[in-house]
Amino acid sequence: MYRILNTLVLSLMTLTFLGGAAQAGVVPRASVGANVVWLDGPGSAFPADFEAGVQSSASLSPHISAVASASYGFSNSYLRWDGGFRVTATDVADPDFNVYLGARYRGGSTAEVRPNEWAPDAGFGWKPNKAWPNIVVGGDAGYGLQSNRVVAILAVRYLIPLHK
Amino acid sequence: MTLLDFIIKTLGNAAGEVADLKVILSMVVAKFPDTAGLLNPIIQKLDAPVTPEALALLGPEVLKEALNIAQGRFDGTPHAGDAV
Repeated sequence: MYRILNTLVLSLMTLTFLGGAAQAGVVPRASVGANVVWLDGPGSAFPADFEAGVQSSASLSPHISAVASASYGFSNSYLRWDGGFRVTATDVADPDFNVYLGARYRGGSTAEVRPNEWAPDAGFGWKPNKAWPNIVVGGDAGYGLQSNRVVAILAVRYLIPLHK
Repeated sequence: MTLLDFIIKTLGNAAGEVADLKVILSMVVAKFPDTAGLLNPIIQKLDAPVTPEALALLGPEVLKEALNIAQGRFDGTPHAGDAV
């Protein structure tokens, strides 16, 4: 019950972030999706899990974005969250393929997904089929500066059509 | 230098595990051959070369955009990676 409440609170925070960004003239975006996640490094209590979650983002310029997300891990019953900024680059030959370098402040509800820490990360997103413009597949790996743990995900997302 | 090399070099040696992304993708393709059509193009893109010209352009562009953001000027060009 506590975790469900946590998820609701984080979802509300995400919506608040979206609302605030919209008021500042930024175009906010949101998606829901699923991850396969791997945790690797000192003190990792489990190697992998399956997650579902919500993500929000705001593209601030052609190469800079702000992002936030919250995910629930089903096998190990945890909530994982993060927020940060990234520098992005889009493939000139394929505008649907985008890579990024960034930093996220990340944390979670259990010891396995803590401490709360900054983590430089890198990843990519790709819309694999023009017939499905709201589907994105991607991957990300982030290195925790305090824990020295790597959290890597493979992800599939559905972009919620907030704008026409 | 490939795109993956560039990512690893930028994050530093401590984040060498970022190479896991490609390992994980290759592992998924090996286990589930049906995903090859979807994932192999991504693996190929990670192996694509990054030209020095592209890198030279990125720094000044990002600085210019950061200044615009600081002054409240935004450009909401969508990026597929933002959803990840």
